[in-house]
Amino acid sequence: MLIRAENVSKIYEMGKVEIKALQNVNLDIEKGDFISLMGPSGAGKSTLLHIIGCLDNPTEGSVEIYGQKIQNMKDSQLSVFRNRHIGFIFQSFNLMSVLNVYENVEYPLMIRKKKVDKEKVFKTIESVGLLDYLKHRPDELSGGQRQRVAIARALVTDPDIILADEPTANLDSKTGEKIISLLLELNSIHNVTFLFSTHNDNVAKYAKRVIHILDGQLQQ
Amino acid sequence: MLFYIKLGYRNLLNNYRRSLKTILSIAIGLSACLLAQGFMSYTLLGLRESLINGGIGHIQIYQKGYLKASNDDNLRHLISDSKTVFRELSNVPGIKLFAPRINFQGMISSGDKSTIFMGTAGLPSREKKLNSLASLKQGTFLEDKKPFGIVIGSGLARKLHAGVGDTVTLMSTLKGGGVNAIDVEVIGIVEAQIKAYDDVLLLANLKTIQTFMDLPNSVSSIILLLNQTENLGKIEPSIQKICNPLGLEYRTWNQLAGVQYTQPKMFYDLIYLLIMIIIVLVVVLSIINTLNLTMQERVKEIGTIRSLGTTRLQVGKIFISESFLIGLLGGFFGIILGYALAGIFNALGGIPIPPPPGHAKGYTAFFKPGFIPALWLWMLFLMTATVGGFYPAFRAARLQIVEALRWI
Repeated sequence: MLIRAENVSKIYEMGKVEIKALQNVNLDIEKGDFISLMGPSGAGKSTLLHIIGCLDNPTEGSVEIYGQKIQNMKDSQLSVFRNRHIGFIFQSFNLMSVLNVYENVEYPLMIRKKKVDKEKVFKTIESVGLLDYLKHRPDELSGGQRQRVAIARALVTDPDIILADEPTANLDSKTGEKIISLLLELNSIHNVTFLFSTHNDNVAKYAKRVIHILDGQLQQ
Repeated sequence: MLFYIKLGYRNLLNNYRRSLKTILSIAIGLSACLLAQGFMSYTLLGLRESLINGGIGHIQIYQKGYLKASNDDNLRHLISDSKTVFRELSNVPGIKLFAPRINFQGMISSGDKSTIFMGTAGLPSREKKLNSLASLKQGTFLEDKKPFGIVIGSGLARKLHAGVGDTVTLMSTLKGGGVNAIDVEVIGIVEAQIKAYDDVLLLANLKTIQTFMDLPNSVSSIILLLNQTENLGKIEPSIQKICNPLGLEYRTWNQLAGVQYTQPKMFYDLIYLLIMIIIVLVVVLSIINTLNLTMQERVKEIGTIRSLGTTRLQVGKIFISESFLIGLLGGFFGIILGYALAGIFNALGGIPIPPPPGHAKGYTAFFKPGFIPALWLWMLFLMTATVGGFYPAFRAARLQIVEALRWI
């Protein structure tokens, strides 16, 4: 089992009001899965991704990744854990504007205290078809190209799972489908595990497994 | 570390207008400190040289016991074999001149007015080179061909109602306790920078006073003037070697000047410290403000890099590298600006300064910023700027990742 979420609940307190973002979520993810997390805005998709991605802690329940309980880790340990085991793709790409394509992809390796395998960076950029854009800054790229850079950045550390939060929401449908095809290709060829959220049926249809979420509860 | 510096540099370039403003504020702050240091350094250097050349010299040699003796008793502690000392001193390289002196005091009378004087008798040709402190107002300085000519301070001349060409009488107590008197002619009036000294100042011919006081070949002190003040440390051991076997002792200019030099120095050091504290505070606030604004704009980016595995410490390093670079560049340009401004002010003829309290004359101040103080200032501003980045860095590092990612 790659990831096991057990009875995960997340409650936000907004003044005197409690918002239940997740309620008793149970989810198992196997290595090589290609899962779409579907639901409308506010359903709890991002919250679940954040908790699985070790960015946030559940109010109740537990998340285990390869048997390791993430709640017990210190912040610095979690940072290293994220860098080694989890890749992220964001809706608005979230690239560093001051770095070029190569440097953005290289970044997750640079923060490790090891010499960067440049060949690996080049190969990863090649795998998303951006070898001709190495020196380009994000503002010199199209939306689809930016998301490819974000995918390469997520892939370069050979993570156990890549979490993508609405990866196609800021792209036109054609580009969005290309991006999902690319993710699927990476899943098929390199056995990379993907969990991505979407509210778009056309995107979700590519998934091997679709999980519906509504009002913080899974509708499997 | 180079990675963080590169990232910091790129971030500075990305927001070059704001970065430039902050760098400029540091550069102006540092150049102001450098100008203040240059002004004070020049003033203290001028004070030092005026004290040295104005009679104190670099080194003064005495018979042991002379300095501890009272005014009434100091004639018993004179260097009696001055010729031997002169011979030894002639062999020491780096000495520009040595001037033997007798210090004496007594009453001076112009007939209807009498007052006290503090006299220094020296060799005219040598004293001319030593007395730049007292600038000549009227008449001439001491001359070998006028052995009974004296020069008095303008304050003393006023008290006596005496002028150039007037005859005055000096009365002084001799070594044996008796009193002697001599008529001398006022041949010149000088103006000492320190008013209290100007009111009692009297300069006379050494040979005349040695005869008058019945002290042949004896001198109170021998004043040494070196080619350069900076050589004092090298020459001091040679002087010690000469003094020890002859039962002599010596004092250096800074021991002799005492509060005349240390008090203004302390005063200037305090002002300089206050200026630096104020400027450093402004720089710290400026850095905090800039980096806080930068941090606000990069909340989402911080969330992103944290999610990619950047630790809090690494986030802090990114921000601190920016403040380090701001300090480095600001300091560099500050030194250039400081030297440029100093050059411009000096080329325009300096700044006229009115007479300080207790002084009769003002002076023109120039700026002489030192290279080592400039480097120290650079280090100080570099450290200040870097420390200024700590608070924004801390805030950035403590951001909650999820909240940062949701930031719009």
